[in-house]
Amino acid sequence: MKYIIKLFIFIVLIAISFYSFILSVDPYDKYGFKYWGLKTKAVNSYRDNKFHQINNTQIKYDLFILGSSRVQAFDPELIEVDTGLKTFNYGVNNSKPEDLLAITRHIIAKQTPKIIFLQLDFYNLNTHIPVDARLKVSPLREYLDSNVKESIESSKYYYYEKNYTTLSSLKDSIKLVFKNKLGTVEITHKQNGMLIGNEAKKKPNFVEGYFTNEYKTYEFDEKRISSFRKLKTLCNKNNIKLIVSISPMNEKHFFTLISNENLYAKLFSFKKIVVEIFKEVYDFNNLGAVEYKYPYWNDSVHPSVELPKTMIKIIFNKINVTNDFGIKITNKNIDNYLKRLNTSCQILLSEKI
Amino acid sequence: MLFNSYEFIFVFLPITFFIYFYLNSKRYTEASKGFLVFSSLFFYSWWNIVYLPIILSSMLFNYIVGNSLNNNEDHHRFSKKSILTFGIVSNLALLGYFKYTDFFIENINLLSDGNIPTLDLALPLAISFFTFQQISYLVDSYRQETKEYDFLNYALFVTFFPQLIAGPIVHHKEMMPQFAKTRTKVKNYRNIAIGLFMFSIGLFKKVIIADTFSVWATAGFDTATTLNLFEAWATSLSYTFQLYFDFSGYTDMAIGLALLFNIRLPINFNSPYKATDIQDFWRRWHITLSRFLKDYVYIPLGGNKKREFRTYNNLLATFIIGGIWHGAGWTFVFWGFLHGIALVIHRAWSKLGFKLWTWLAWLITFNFVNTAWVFFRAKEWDDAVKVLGSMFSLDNIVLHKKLANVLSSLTNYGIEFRPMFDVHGTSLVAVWLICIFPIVIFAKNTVQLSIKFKQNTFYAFIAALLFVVALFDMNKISEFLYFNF
Repeated sequence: MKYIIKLFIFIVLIAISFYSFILSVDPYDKYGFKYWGLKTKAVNSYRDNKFHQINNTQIKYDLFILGSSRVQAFDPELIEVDTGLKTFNYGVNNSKPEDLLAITRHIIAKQTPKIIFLQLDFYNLNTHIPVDARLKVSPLREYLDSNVKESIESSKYYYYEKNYTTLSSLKDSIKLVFKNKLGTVEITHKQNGMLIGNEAKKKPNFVEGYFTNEYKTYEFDEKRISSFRKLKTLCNKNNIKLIVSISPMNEKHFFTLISNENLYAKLFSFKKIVVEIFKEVYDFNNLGAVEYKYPYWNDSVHPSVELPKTMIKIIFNKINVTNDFGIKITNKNIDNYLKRLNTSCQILLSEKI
Repeated sequence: MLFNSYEFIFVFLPITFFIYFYLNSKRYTEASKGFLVFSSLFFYSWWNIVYLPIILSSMLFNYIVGNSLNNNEDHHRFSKKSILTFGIVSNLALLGYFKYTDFFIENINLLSDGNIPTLDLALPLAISFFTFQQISYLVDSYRQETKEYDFLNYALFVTFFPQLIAGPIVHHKEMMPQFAKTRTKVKNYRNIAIGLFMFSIGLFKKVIIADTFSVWATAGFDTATTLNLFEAWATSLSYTFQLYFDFSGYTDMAIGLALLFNIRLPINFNSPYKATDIQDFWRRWHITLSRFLKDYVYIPLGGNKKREFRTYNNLLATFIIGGIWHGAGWTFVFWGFLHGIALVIHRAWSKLGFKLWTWLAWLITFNFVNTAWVFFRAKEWDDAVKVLGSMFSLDNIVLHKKLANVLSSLTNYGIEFRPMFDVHGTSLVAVWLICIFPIVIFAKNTVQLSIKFKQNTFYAFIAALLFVVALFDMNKISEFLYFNF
């Protein structure tokens, strides 16, 4: 019995020590504790890093790039050379319309840019993919719609994450103290939000996970469509020009996607929906993209730094559209374009099969 | 309900423990047994109550068949052998229906170019385990090695929650005498201390080690299209360690939990990756399954009592059955076949009397087991070929960028210099493998540690530390691998 009492006392003491340490570090900057006097926080979340970068910056940006990990390779410095616009890359992993809307709100709360460039991913409107779990501990959650915020907070483990009772909080706290006090702070992004390291691969990996997760049982989500509408309205109200594009995929990914009857139909509907919302959309998600091979891809959906260079030049009219790659689709030309795309997809499918 | 969940640790377990011993302390022994069965069924139903009737009817059926086999009166219309056959076939039919129907349909479609729709049945949790356990009960009853006339006792034998979901597969004759002992009905603080110690180790193995390797195994098997040499080895080793720490972690927790109730479950793992031959491996890995296959498949087939060639056939058949028991897929069948072949080769080799150096024997055994797990893990043949192809090919070698200056001449031989573990997203995978390897090969296992266990401050601190670290990392849903089998 004495041993068991001792065991329980140790359990309580160790748990309290862990928790006190995490609180003293406050790794995700939830309470503003500065006991350790650390220079950086939120060591492993792009969302939070970028949030803090924008919160703390004195720079006035003209252009913000928004989207998922697939816009991480857009280099703001190159865009500045091409367009003369001071640019920040606010791309965050696994973004969904609710994140993108929250990010737009955050940007507008801090400054008013001239342009927001928003890159959409085909999976964005699928109702069966959950809100990104990292939003639970991100300060960005304050900018979410109330229904999304509630759904996050009602999740089973929200209580533990919100209150720092997780091993990742402990690991991040140790990492933060170690890096700040003993090592060097790891730089994953430039000051302009650009992810460091997006190398082209000769044999880019096929990201099969998209088919088992992101595209799985694809159905359009009205709430997510509504988030995009709100984002558009917000930009209009604040006189921000919104440039919208659909992200490209490499040949194998595109072919696998259109080989699935349901996804094929959904892809076409997706294009119609986003054009209806945003009125003008640059479409890089077609057979024009499959022409781009090495050195344009990091994996089957993430371009290397090379492809965005071409995409930006197309959007800012520095070069012409070829093979419909980056074609501007509007309500007027969408039917013809989709007809053309359908024909070329059918040809590709018959050739491949 | 998972052992590694807050609801289990903080609600279910304490309530079950205290009520069980309270009822016993008031001498309500039948009520305490009934309560334990009820709790175990509640534990089972937490996953999906729809499958509760299946386990209940399976239990009732086997209890009736077992009773018929135990009945010594000679007025049966059917012989005991017919009753036993009927019992076994019915159990296998239930298992086959849920586990193998779709596999069967898919193969029929493939052979006949047909289009029979699959049933897409969800596999009821633990069906493979409770079916095997009950088959062993029927055979033991037929052999007059055990008997049970009390349904409550029988229900407790099948449903006792520490071993219900994924074993160890226990015999009726090794469980029920323990429940009957008076000592079992009284709290034993030493057993509680050892039980909590083992549970903490198991929880840590599962939550911290197995779940970490799981991410890297998935990245290599399911996500990557191509792997370089080091990524392929990191992928296969990640799965090898994930499976061991996952399943042995579960078993440690099960044994620890049973000890809280003064029940000793049989050992299921004995440092299997220390094995120096394949027979040795199967004496150390999933020991209760090996025991079942030996007693109820290999020996009835004739074991090694017939001619040598027949023994080889029996070995092969036993392991192919073992393979398909794990899952309905040709990759599982092939995995079983590989192990069967390895045992045949080992037997033939032993007959010749050759001896290998111990370290070489270990190296061959470990690499064989690691390679065979690739088929066990792969969802499709292509995934297995992808991983194995890269493990044994020198065409795709990648070295760290920092070595580029020193070894730049190697680029002439096709060697690239970039992140070595790109697929896994971090070179931490290499660090973990390097740290875990010596633990697996040299460290004492949980059972050995529990024998040395002392009720002192050191053990209390270690147990508490492992428990709290694991507790802090339980904020995710992570099922045990053997729940799928």
